Amino acid sequence: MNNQVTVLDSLQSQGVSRRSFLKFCALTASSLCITGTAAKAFAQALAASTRPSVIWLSFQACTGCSEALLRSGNPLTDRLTVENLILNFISLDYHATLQVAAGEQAEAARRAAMEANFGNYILIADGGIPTGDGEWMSSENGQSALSMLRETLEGAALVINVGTCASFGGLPAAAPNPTGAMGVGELMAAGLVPARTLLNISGCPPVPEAITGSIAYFLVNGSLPPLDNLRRPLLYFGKTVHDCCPRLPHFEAGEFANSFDDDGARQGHCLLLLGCKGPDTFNACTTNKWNQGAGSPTQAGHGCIGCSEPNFWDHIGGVYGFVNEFEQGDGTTCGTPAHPQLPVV
Amino acid sequence: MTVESAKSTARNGTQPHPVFWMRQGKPAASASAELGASAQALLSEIEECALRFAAGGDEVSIDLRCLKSMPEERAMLAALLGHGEVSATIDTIGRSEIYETSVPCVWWVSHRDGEDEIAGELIEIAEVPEVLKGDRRAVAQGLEALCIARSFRVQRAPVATTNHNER
Repeated sequence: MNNQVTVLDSLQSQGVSRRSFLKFCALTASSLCITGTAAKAFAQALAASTRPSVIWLSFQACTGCSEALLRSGNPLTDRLTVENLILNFISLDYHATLQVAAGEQAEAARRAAMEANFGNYILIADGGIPTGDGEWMSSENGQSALSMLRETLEGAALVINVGTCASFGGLPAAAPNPTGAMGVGELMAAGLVPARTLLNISGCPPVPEAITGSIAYFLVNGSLPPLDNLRRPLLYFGKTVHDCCPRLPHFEAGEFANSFDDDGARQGHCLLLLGCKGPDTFNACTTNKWNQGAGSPTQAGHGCIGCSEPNFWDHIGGVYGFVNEFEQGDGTTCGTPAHPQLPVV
Repeated sequence: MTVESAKSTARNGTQPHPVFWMRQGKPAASASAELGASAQALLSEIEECALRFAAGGDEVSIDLRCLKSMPEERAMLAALLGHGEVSATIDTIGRSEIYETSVPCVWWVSHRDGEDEIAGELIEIAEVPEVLKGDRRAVAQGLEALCIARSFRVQRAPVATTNHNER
């Protein structure tokens, strides 16, 4: 693919109008909290940016992260969705799930893209990476996932971990972690792969706008957006699910559901006693929402399972376990009001 | 022209600024008293940016998403700003509605998604919002499509002529 073509040229050659592009920019700038005169500059810079080569590697993954991005729009009503525009911002040179080629041909395409863009391409990873005795439990074309990651990282300018598995090990790393799965950042810290600039967009799957917005920010600024201590963009991971939950007024009023089908649950009461991990989970589910803004897990009636946090699967008490007090990112704690009526076990 | 001098000129009545015209109207007097803190802050920002733009400043867009969870305040702000002479609809990746408020050069822009839900709202301060402007680069492509459409009509023309002669 020709990577010197600008983003706007690429879009227009595929029949995407300038107005569609400007609309995308307006909504993305909004999600990145870019406002005022900077919003116009953002659109201009994004239009003029060239499309970076992207190599997308999938390891121990359910492919839900790719699906979240690709299926985020409604194919029946949208010929073109806002989220899908991101695929025109990048030159996707390798994606094992999406590409037609397989085996030797696919790997040859990956190596050709790496050679042509050495030092400049973006590596997107989804899935945990098995290590140690389990290293060969994930392999492609005679190469282990760890070896493929190590090789591809050599010429990468930036690594974006899409999903909790690539970010922190996720479900494959859940106890007893039979494959020795680790996230890319852990592998870098352990010296098992080359260290490169890293961005984690965790979630199971991650919110599509967090992926598109972060890539757009990088294209415009040539640098990463402000990150939290887990290298997640603060713009999307700066608040907890609890902070923006539609059930928050009920939490503050001390109104809790005691079972999933009681009157409280039907009236939108807080789901904390039913195991909701919202106060401990930094993610944009309740602000950006899912399915074209239709809703979020807590809005739909299920507690947050904390999927964007490390080791969420092994959280004390499990998915439905009640946690009385959560430590917040700013050092304060968030707990239930005094004397809540605990659910009957 | 600075913001202060623009305000001063407006106060002197020599060249009343649109923001002050609006404030002389009935809706402004009644609705602004009921506005919440978020809408009040937005209104102040709109006024400042409009004055700056009138004095030769840059175009600005102001994000209204802080009003997303406050439909009443949003409605009050919309009522206060009112409707001006121009409104337009854009049909691309969902509908977008744009209208000029009662303050010239202050536009209310609502972007909707494929499900027709509001995905984002902005106040744009400009002579014409960027998204409304046509695209010179797309003219050739449009003419090409027109040429193809005409060639189809030419091919069908003999059939139409025959019918005419029969009558």
